[in-house]
Order: sequence, then structure tokens, then C-alpha cells
Amino acid sequence: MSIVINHLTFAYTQGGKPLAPTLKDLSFTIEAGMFLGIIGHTGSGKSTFVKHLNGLLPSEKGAVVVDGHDLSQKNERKTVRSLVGMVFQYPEYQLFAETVYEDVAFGPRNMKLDEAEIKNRVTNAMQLVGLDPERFSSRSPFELSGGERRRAAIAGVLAMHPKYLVLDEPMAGLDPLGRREILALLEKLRTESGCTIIMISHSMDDIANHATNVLVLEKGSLFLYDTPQNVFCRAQELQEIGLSVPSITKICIEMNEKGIRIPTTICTEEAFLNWFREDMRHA
Amino acid sequence: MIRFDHVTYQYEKAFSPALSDINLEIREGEFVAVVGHNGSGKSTLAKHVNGLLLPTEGTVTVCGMPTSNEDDILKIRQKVGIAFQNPDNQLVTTVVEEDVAFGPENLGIVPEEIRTRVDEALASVGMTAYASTAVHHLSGGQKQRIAIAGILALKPQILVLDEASAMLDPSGRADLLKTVEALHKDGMTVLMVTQYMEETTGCDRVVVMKGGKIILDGTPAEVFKHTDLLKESNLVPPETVLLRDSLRSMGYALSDQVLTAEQLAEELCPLLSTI
Amino acid sequence: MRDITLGQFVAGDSFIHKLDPRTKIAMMILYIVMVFLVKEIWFLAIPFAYLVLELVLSKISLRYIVNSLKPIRFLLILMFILNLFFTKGEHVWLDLRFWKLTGEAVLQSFFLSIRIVLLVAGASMLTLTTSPIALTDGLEKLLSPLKFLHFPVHELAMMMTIALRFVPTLIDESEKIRNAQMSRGADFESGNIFKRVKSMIPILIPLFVSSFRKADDLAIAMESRCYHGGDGRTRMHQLKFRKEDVFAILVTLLFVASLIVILVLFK
Repeated sequence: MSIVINHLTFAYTQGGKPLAPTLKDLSFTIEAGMFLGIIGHTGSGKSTFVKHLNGLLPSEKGAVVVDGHDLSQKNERKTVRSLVGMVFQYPEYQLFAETVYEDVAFGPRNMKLDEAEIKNRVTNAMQLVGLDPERFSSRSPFELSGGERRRAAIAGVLAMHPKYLVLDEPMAGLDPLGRREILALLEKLRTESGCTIIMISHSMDDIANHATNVLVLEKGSLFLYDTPQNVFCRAQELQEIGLSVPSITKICIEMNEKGIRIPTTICTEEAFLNWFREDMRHA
Repeated sequence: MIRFDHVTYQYEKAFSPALSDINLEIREGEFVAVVGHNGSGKSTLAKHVNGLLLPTEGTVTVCGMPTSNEDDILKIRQKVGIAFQNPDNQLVTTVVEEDVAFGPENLGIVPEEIRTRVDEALASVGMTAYASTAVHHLSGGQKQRIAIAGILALKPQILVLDEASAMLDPSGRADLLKTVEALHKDGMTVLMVTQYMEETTGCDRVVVMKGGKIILDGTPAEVFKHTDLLKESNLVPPETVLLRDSLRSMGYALSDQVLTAEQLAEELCPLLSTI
Repeated sequence: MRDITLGQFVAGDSFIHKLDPRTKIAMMILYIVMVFLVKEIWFLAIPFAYLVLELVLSKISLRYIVNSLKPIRFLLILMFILNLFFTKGEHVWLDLRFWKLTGEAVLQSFFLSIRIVLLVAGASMLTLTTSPIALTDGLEKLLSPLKFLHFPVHELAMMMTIALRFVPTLIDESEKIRNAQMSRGADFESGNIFKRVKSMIPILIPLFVSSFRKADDLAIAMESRCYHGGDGRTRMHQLKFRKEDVFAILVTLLFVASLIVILVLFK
């Protein structure tokens, strides 16, 4: 089970004429169970790329195949849209229904599920994101706090039971507590229900701490696709394309400059402290 | 320059006050950061500085003028410029330079003078090349710099940033911070409201808010001593500070001055070579 | 997509582009007067010549004018046919018992159609060569005498300015919301009209909500920047009449005068 991207190329059009391609010949595979972090400078094509994962943008050149469903087939798109959940930037701006319950139920309703199943899914999804169904079901989504609205919007996607959850900067604009809640939710989804997470983020620290794999896009091309350790140790190259590295990696680089040979593949606090414990044992 | 004297503010229909008994003084030339979780009252505080909100109790004075005096409100707003969170929702006109001119136009300044002010303001945020660009072609970070230029054109003495970086990407955020730091070097008093604690390490002073009250107020080094208190207030200290604390608990003698990667490496390396 | 909103404006620096917006508004009004003065098809040649002159001077491609006529093509055809049927005349070209095709009807159909084409094309010349912002400024200045009658000229102009500024933002936003709802399985493309309108609700409500929020934010930002209505407000860009404006108005008046002379002579 995987998402296979094969020679995907895409250009937006303006007035009928194609512009310079936003995505250039992307080929790689997203394996089920990954926590994939996507990073890239603004304009690198990250958001355009994820819109190909559920057929919001057509794959004219090249192919995107989700669990065997080829998205160039128009009739496959509806199936794939229930396999691949999409959480866009500031998802709370999509809330529209009179009650939180109805909003979360929008996706399942579109899937033509029966009422019992819908109720089941809505309740579960709300519990998952930490919105107590008894308290929140009948409230208007517009009277919730910012963090609660964001979680209600995510619940609306989770209620469709996606196997792949794509998130475009899900923590943008939230306060530290809100950020932590979302990250904890993603970890829980991945470990408990085996949901594959694909997350665009600008926070290198969050990517280092949570992603199992990192995709780096640069001007629409695949720049790197590897583990966080192997990506972030190439600080120089990342800097050249306008990206930074996690705080911990920065410290390792500074230390190397001062003559301490600490591997720059270290990008989390845990790994850093482990190295210290090892080092002390050697000493 | 700005004085909060026992300021309490209660939103209508709210159970508890958004600000309760705030005493705060911001002196000329200071760069002060105000941090706090959502609902801590930090944005409410910012909206008091130019009289957008008036205290329920207590007084706010700006350059000696109480904000409650309606006759002075235009003078106060000219002295205190505020940049807000959403880059899309604070620019008024379609073309960059016309937007920058909006403030001085409101003050009834003569056209030639507006022209010079607009050119100067655009230059000091590094956006001269975009003078006749349409606003919707700019990135979020660029829009925020135009918003700041629009404020500078009013020749204010105090610049308030009300979470102005919250919706920007890291490079936009870095550009904005650089712009603000440069303005501060040239003598601007800055009050920066933010959720990102790593942005505050370069400030003169950090004020931490929780539940409408000020719980910490001091230099970044003093404030980041209290990591536990910060965590309790739902704030996340910078990753480097967290690491510093973990290393300390392992027995490394690192000072409170350690706030950035360089400083950490600086103090840590000598300790390692002695092992 | 987002550039729809700059209206039909085609940027350029031709003679026409550089004219003061007030001049161009006046030119269009005079042009419309010319078109309406004419009661016979042949004399439409004069406003037509004027339009051609303007088009050449503006260096705007004919394609844009043709595009601006597209939306009214059905109206044109309908009007043409109706006039063909209902105009009475003596020169019968074709007699089908229930209906006679007369020379007068053909002439009248052509006359009215050409007149509409000329009117629309003339109005597009104004919007093609004048940015909406300049147009707003020009209107504000032209209407400013109405202020003394307590007509809210400044407020109206400010509203137009803000609307122009926010249309691209709102288009972006509706695109984002549409994508989000489509990802939740919403279907905007099938079903009858009633169903389609209903399917727009998940887009319209968030869009309204966000517009209210924007209005709120913007009001606060404007207030912070010392906005207090139009009293005592100055403008950075002052509209100025130049030699060229006087020249353009003179030429236009010349056309109007010649038309009147010709109409009187050939009465």
C-alpha cells in the first residue's frame, strides 16, 4: 500500500497559455505508515504537489497512483478523496454548518454512509481531536476558540477515515499549546490507527522531532528525499535553497566549528543528550 | 513613553477580565516583547496603546496624553503605529505606494510631503522596488513590510507589532524581524506582541502574560531562567533553552546568558574539552 | 485568475493611457452623445471614425474590443431579429404573406445593432485604458461638487477602493474553500441547477464569515492609521490636466461639432 508518484510534471495556465512548470518530473513513493515531512521555500511547489495527491489538480503529465487507483482516471478521484484526507492551511476557514456535528458529518454524508455510521464516525472523530461530543456537538463552530475551530475542521477530515492524511501547515497561527495538541494528535493517529501522515511544515524542529522521512522540494524538483538525519546534516545545501535546519542541528554545527566533533546528523534533543551520555562513558 | 496604570479591561459578556490591574511602563528607545498564550490578554494590551480599546478601570498614557481623552486620539494614533496579524486585512488600497500614503493622507499633509514620506518609508523597509506593484502580488512577509511602511509614513515614535509575524513563513518572519530591529537601532521604541519565544531573545525586555496578568518582566536571560513557570503558562521556551536546562540537569555548568545556538556552543565547548 | 479583478484594464503608456481619467470620462460622455444624436445609419460613420482614432492611439489590440462585445452577442442577435420582424416599411423585399421583409426593417436592424456595438465598444475603451483606481479617483473628483448636497462622494470612492483591493483576496479565498470542500467529497459539478445552487452553501457561508472578519480587521487597521472620514484628507496623487488633455477634449468637441453641422446640412 503506497502512493506512487511517477514523472509528475505540472504547470498552471494563464489565459490558456501554460506558465513555467511548478512541478518538474517528480518520481518517488510514499509508503504507508510514514510520517512524511515536506519542506521547501515558499514557491517551491509544496502546496501544488499535495493538491495532486487527491486529484484536486489533474496529473496531465506523469501519474499519481494511490493504493492502485490511478488519479488520471476521472472516476477514480471520488474513491481517492475518501482515501486521502486533506487539511489545508487555516482549515477552520472551511467551517460552514450550523453545528459542529453537522460540519464534521459533511464528509461522511458526501460518502453516502448511513446515519448510524455517520453518527459513529462523527463521535469518534470529535473524541480523537479532543472535542467532547456531548459538549460540542450542538454548538455553532463559529463560537469556538481558534484552537477548537482548527480541531473541529480536522475532525471533519478524520471522519472520512482517510488512510493518508495530508496537512498543509496544520499548526500555522496557533499558540504553542495548540501546536503541541495537533502534533500529539498526528502521532496518535499514526501509531494507533496506522494512518500515514504527510505534513508540509516550515518548522524544522517539528519535522526533526516527528517525521520519519523528509521530502525537500526546490523550484518544483525533488531536491532530497531521505530520513531527517540525512537531510538536515546537509545544512549548507539547505541554506543555499533558503531553508534552515533544526535548532539542535545548529548547535551541533556551532560545536563542530569550535572543534568538538559531534555528528551533524543529530537533530533532536533526545539524540543530542544520548550522544552526550555516550561521550561521557568514553571519557 | 507609555504607562499602564492599574489597567483593567473587561470585554462585554466575558466572565473574567482580559486585563486585570496591569502596571507597565515602556521607556523611550526600548525594544519590549510581550509573550503569552492565546487568551492571555497580550493582544488586548496592544489595542490599549493607541486607544482602540479604552480601559474599564485605570489609565493608559502615551507621551503624557491619556488615551481616554478623545481630543488627543488622532495625535496618539500618529505617535503609536500598530501592525496587525493578518497581512491581507490591513492594507487598504490596491497599489503599494498608495497604501503607504493612506496614513499621511488622513492627516491632511500636503502632497509633496506625502511623496517624500512614502519614498522614505518604502526605503526603510526595503520595498522601494515594489512601489507601483499591486498588493495582491506580494508575499505575506512583503505585505507586512508594506503595513509597517504605512505606519512609518505617519512618523510614529512607537511601533507596536500585534502578532504581526504569526501568519508568515520563516523567511518572511526573519525579514520582518530584521526590519524591526533596524528601525529600533535608529531610535524607534518597539512593543512586539508574539507567541514565538525564539523571537524575543534579542529584545531588551520580555514581559510574560498569563490570564490577564503580568507574571514575569525582565531581560530575556532573567525570564528564561523560569522555564518551568513558562511551561506552566502554556509557553514553549526556545529549543536551545530547553536543551540548556537538560544539560544543566546532567551537571554542566551553563549560565543564564545561554539563549542561542552560538552562546550554547560557546559555553559548552570549553566544558567538554576538560572532560 | 486573480487578475480578472483589475477589470479589463490593459496596462500601457499610450497617449490615451496617459490622459487624466476625468478627460477620458468626459470623452466617453461626449462620444455617447454623438452616438445618440445620429438617427440614420450612415452618419454613425463619424462616431465610428472617432472610436477607430481612439483605438489606434491607445495601441490596444482589437481583440479586447471584440471580447468586450461577446457577452452581449445574444442580445444583439435578438434585437436584430425583432427589428427585422416589427419594423414597418414600404420597400418590400420579400413577401411571405404573414410577414413582409422590408428594406427599412433591414436598415433599422443594422442601425440599432451598430449603435449598441458602438456604445459598448466606446465604454470598453474607457475601462481598457483606465485602471479602476484612476477611474475611482476621477469619479471622486468629478462628483465632488455633489458634496455640498450632502452626497457621500468620499465614502463612495473609499468603498470602491476597498472593494477593488479585496476582490482578488476573496477570489483566492473562495478557491481555497472550494478545494477544501471538494476534498471532503463535495460535488459542485453535477446535478440540476437547484442542486448546484444548494451545493454552493458550503462555499458561500465560510466566504461571508471571512468577509465579515476582514471588514472588522480592516476597520481597526484604518482607524489605527488615523482614518477619520473624508474631512481634511489630502491625496498624494493629485490629478492634473496637461496640454494633452486639453487637446484631446478639443478634438472630441471638434468631432461633435462636425457631426452637428453635418446633421443640420443633411436634414
